[in-house]
Amino acid sequence: MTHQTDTGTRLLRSRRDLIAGAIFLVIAATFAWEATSYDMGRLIRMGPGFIPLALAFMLGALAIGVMLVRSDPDEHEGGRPIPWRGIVLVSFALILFGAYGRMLGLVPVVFLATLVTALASRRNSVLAAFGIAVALSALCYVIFKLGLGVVLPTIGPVFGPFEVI
Amino acid sequence: MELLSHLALGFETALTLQNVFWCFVGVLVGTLVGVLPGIGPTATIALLLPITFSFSPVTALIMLSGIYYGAQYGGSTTAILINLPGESSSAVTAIDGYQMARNGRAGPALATAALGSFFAGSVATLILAIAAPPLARVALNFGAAEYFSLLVLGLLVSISLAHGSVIKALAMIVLGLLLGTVGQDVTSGTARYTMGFQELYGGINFVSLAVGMFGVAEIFRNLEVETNREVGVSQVKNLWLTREDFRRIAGPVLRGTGLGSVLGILPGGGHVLASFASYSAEKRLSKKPQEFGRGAIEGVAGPESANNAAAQTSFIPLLTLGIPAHPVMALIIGAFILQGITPGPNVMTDQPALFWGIIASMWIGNLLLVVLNLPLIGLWVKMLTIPYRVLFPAIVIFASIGCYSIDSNPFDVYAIVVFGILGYVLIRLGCEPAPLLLGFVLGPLLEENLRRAMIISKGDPTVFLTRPLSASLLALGLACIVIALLPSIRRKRDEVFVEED
Repeated sequence: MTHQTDTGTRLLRSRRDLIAGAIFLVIAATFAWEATSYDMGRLIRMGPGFIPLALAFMLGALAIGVMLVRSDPDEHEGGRPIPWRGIVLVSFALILFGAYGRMLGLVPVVFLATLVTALASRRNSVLAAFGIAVALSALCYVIFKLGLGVVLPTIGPVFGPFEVI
Repeated sequence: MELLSHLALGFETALTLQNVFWCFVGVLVGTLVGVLPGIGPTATIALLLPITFSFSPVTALIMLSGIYYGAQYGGSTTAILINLPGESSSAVTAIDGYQMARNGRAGPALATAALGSFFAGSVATLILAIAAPPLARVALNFGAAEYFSLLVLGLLVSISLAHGSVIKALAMIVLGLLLGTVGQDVTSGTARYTMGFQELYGGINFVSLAVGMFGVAEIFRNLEVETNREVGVSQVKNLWLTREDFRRIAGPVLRGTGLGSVLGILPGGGHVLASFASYSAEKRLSKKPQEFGRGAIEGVAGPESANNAAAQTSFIPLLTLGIPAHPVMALIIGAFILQGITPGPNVMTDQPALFWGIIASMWIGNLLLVVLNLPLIGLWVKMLTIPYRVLFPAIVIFASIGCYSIDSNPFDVYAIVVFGILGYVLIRLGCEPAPLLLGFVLGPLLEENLRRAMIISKGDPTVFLTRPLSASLLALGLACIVIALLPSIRRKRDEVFVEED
């Protein structure tokens, strides 16, 4: 662990605390705002809004604390790049799975979602992604369809006459 | 002897063909995820929760527990062979284990880890069996106020042992508690924070939250900088220990077991703390401290025994009080709840077969682990050659199928995206996700007990301070926070946890 004290690191660190605090504050405000529309009740018989509102206030106070109190020196943060490509592709694959899983069926949706997910790593070529997708489709068919009998059809209704339940 | 008849019941339950089979699957999967860096037991148990819905409660819990302690075994293999802890608690094992492997003693290092773990696991399970009933009896007398204070204590202790900023950890707990309030309010039936989504009436899906925060967020972390891992040792020969080795590891294993059993009960990161504590104790006690860091077998034996003992005893607060010591235990609580059982002191009296069955299965599981880890070591070495770029798509797909199959509901899969991104952002900002998960799981219990305590006390909030047991529990919680904030402890804590990442 190196105790770096140059201003750059310190600025970065305090910026992280500020952002973290701001996120907590926004969440707290949202929860508090919504809580005011629920019945508060009284201490003896708390309504559904009582505890969420109290918690939201606590979170708000802690959020301000996070912004003000200098946090621990954190060594290996900062310079690491945000994997935008990974985040977008993995999220897209999950949404794809949720939205079209039923229609496409287990094997096709696993194939497509794996293909998209695998490309999230820069180390996977398109060909490698295809290979992983084929292998994982077969594996999931064996484990989840044959082994555990998931509700998803093997090949979904969208394939018309080729549908396999 | 009461204990013997309980254990007989336990073995009767655990030794059915079905339960042994799923126990085996559990420890096998546990070893696998322990061996593979990049997937932890938390994400794995979250992923496999949906699969266990169709099982009977005892089978489901036997398997899920197996994953947890199996991962502690597997983690040491990776630590020894590639100097990368598969599991945070094996970080210490990597120090001397990897040096042993480089000196051509990978075999004895692995054997020491496996045998030490087996011994520690078996002894700690016995401690669990002996300590659980009296503790549960105490807890049975708890009223709503005591329960509330106990839950608060559990949450507070978990941060004092966590990594990083205390105030951020507190904020994460409260955020978890808030997320736990989403859904229909039990008492009044009001839908809270559902934003018009029918799907949110039952609350945020626990599995989606755990998989997102611990599985997907972790994948995003690993995609930041992609590295190749080197397997330094491709073949492991000569697994047997010499007489001299046995003599050297006996003391460390015994001490490690003792330390681990005690520290495992602490909420937070008992098993991580236990392995570090054991390592420094062995180093201090050793006549040749200069050997530590250069392949001292004691440096493998002690910590490995300690973390496995702790893995076993961390079930004590869960099984007796219904309080999870760390995220994995929070997930196991989730498994109890999904099976329609409220975890806590009642489990032992209401469902003795379940309770003692889980305990007995731990011995069977530990035995299976020795078999899995020693003769089959070659297989695990092969597993290590699977690159991460192949592994993470499988994690994402298993997560999708798992979450989808709970209710056949696309909403649960979308929720993974939300929590994956939220988790990633928060982790990058230095906020650990573990306290959030604990808060989320304990939130509804906390609210229920708070409201009940208020009704009983006729709206008098001082009840938590006037009832002695409740007051002492709260005082203990406050003390934990104060201690965690003390500068000297903070420095120590940073030293202890610096290796964890």
